[in-house]
Amino acid sequence: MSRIDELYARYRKPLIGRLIGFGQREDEAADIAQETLIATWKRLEHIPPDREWPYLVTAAFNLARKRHTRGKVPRHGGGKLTNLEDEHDAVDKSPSIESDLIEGEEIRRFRAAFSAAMAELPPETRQAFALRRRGLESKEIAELLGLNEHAVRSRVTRACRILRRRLSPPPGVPWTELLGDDDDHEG
Amino acid sequence: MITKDDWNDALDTWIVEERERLGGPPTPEEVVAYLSGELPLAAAARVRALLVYYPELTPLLTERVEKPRELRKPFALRLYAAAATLAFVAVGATAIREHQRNITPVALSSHHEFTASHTRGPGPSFVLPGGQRRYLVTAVPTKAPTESAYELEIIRNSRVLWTAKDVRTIDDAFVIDIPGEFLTPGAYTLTIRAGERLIDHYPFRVTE
Repeated sequence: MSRIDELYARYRKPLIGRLIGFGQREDEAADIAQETLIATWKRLEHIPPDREWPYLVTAAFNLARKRHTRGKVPRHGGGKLTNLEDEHDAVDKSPSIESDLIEGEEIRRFRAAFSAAMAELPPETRQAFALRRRGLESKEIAELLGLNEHAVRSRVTRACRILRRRLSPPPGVPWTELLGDDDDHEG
Repeated sequence: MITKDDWNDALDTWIVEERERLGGPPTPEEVVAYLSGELPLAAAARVRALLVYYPELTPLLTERVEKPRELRKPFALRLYAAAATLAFVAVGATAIREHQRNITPVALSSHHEFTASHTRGPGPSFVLPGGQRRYLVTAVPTKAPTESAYELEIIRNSRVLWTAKDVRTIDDAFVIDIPGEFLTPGAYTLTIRAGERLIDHYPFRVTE
């Protein structure tokens, strides 16, 4: 079996499955997988055999984004369905009546303060915090970031501490509802 | 007043901005280089951050895929076992054939490149060996394509056997996956059109 045959036999179905997981329709997923496999085949000699899968997934994801057909993306850990870019666009297109403008200004100031607080954190701490907010547990985050669980917990705790220091919670909403528990009570 | 939803949106917005700041999704080459430990420190940090901030790519940080050769044998064995079982339970030859077509992955038997500059002169310029299960044909046009979509046809004895509309190019070439059953021995022509305009044609022959 040649390497191109192997590529099709091994990855076509898993790649379609992954694309469906990205929110693609089945027919779109099959189409993107086909195009990705052909494009990958042309560069096959530059891809180590044990890196074919990450190459294919990244290429397929980028192609799907390019086609602007991506639907709702499920968050890891059973969180809400969301599409970050869509939400971002939606915010920018808010109505322009006066009260909304005032509220919009308040939200913009809050976001700026939030971004400033995030900027205070080291990159790894920001990543651990983002993954925790996506619903992942310390053990999973540790594996993804190549850290031990204790290091993950301390980074998430640090991130929460800085956000608490820099921002105020909405009246009546406890911090744990906004930031989740610092710890996932594992171990 | 800032609400709980505003808090959640603030994180989402920050992630979108962070992705943009980092230059958007990584290329497949960057991801492979990162996973192979071949990137300088700063570039590796950037790719890792992007893998974290694109949830669709995050599993690549830890996903382990078995090496192809380790999988080949079990896959072949499974395929033979499925074929043997089918042979026992088959109701009719046609049903078996249809079923096998549905359950087996598409494996390309051969790849052929048709280059427009080679099509001058009498007779078919390209020869495909007969009896292949599938043919992957890459048709390279004379000039780099400028239209957004093209129409492809396969013609035999002045009769159009197959038409594909709204075909896009991949790296400035047209790629067609043709089932072997479709190409019986004989002479054919592959044409590429943009609307009524003939862009290129590729006479080819399929041998016995």
